[in-house]
Amino acid sequence: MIERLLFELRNTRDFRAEMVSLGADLVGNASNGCLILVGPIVSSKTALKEWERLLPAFAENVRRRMTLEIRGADGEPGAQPKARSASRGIVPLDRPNYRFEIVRQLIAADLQNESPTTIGEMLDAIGASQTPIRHGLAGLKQAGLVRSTSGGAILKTEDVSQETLAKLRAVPQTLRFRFERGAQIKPPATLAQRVLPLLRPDAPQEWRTTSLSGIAAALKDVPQLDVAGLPRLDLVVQVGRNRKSLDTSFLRLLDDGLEPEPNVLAPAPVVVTLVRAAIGTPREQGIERVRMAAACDVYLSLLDAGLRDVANHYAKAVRR
Amino acid sequence: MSFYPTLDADHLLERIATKVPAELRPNIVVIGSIAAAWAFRDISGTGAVATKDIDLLLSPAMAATAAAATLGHRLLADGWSPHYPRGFGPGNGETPTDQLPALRLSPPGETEGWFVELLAVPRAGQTTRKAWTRFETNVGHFALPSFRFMPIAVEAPDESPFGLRIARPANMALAHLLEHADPDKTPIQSVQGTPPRFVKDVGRAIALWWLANQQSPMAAGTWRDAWRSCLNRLHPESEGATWLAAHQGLTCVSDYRREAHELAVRGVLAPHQTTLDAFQRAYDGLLELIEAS
Repeated sequence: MIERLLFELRNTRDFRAEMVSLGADLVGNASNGCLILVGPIVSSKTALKEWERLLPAFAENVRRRMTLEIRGADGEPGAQPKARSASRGIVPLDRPNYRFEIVRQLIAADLQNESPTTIGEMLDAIGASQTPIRHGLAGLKQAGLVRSTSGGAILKTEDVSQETLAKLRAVPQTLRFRFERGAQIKPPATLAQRVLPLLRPDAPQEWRTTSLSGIAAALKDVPQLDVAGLPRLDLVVQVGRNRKSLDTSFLRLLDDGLEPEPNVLAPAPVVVTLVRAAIGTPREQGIERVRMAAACDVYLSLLDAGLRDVANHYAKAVRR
Repeated sequence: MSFYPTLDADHLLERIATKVPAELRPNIVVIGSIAAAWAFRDISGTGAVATKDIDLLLSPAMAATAAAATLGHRLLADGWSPHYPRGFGPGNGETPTDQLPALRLSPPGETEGWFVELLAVPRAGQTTRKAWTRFETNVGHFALPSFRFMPIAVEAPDESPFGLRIARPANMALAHLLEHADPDKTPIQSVQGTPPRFVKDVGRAIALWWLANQQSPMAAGTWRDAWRSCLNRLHPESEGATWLAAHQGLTCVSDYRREAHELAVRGVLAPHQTTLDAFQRAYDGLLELIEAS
């Protein structure tokens, strides 16, 4: 391992120079190389951004052996939150769950009273190859959740429950967040207000694939829904199906004290559902043009929150 | 545990406004922690602030001494009493200006220990960190302190319903950062441990940024716009150099973040007990904002 230490980095020019030098040292051998920033003065985010910007300029067999490490001023990995902040929000992504993506497409068609969905339409919407889609569809048909007709596949939304999805392994990847110890705890209703400007067209770039879901969105569509309060804030994030990780640090704008909730059974004030379909279907709502998740995603978020009756009421109302 | 009494910003500013002659109100901008508390009063717990001094900045520079004399006269006649925290009282015509005290006045019958302090915007071309301007009251001679980056702090202040204008947190933070591009290492004698001045001031800028993010998730855009507008008006020829100076000002606390946090949670962050982790992230966030500006 070739290690390069850079102390108290103050500008990206020095960083680039050291990166090039490290890359040159890796040519013609099989060593791995690590560029270590110790107590950088520039922000970790800036360093990371520069690293990701420059890395594609290196030859494949060089760049795959290059790593970046950011340490605190005392040289300990992650000794300072400054060093942690760049990496703590990175979440590895599961492979896309095509059964879920198919169910999602079929619920969308059902809620819009559309005709049966063909394989071709699913392929276009999900953006995957034929094999996983056909395989996923076969499993759903075999379980009796999806029916074939002459025009394609159909599903009755009200037949879908969280239990059924779990049994069929058609549950999407969700990320759950809680407040870290000592943080200013905000109730979900407050978070639902704070998130609105982040979902408008002029929102920061990193929020532009996120949309409002769950009860907060359902109530905007169907104000007469019978729900008491807002138990959690649901968001949907559209992520490309080839992505291997997601930087969730964008949620820091929603609240600085949010951190991943490792316990899947613990109630979480913020739940993010990942949608891997190629074509996003969010819509804008109201004069403030808040980005809302598709009705199918709102329905699925309600199911995930354990609110099946509310979900079915919602489905009936939006189908009309 | 805070150093200072906890004061309700809205109530206090309204009370002070009633004592300021109407014709002087346009000459006054409230700055400092009470201004921050007022700006962030919609954040739970922030309407009250731990402080002892209410800073009133007089402008323009040419009119500041006359305004200070009028205001001082009015408050003293109303029973406000001069406050001499460093033990030396008003001077006379022979006292050198830099040995005169600032005018600090406590309201009559007030037992909470707070006082108003008069300051002035600097005259054009002030390059020293701090300058003093003499003025006279019926109890003696005092001086108005002026800090060189105060025009930035009081640029485009917010209007309050009680007629006093109040400095914006974004601009106060920028003024602190610029002031310490060359860090002021003077120990603060009134604070336990006598920390250097830059640690407290830059820590305040970080604290204001943390509060701004609590108030709105769109704080970055708001601050960037406020800064750009301010610099376009006041320093259009040197915007790039200003960002560099702000960067230097912030990073001077890079090795003192723990100390800056300790001071901030005993001041503007007292109602929140913001954690060190959150404070450090606020430092990172502010650094990113400057680097992106």
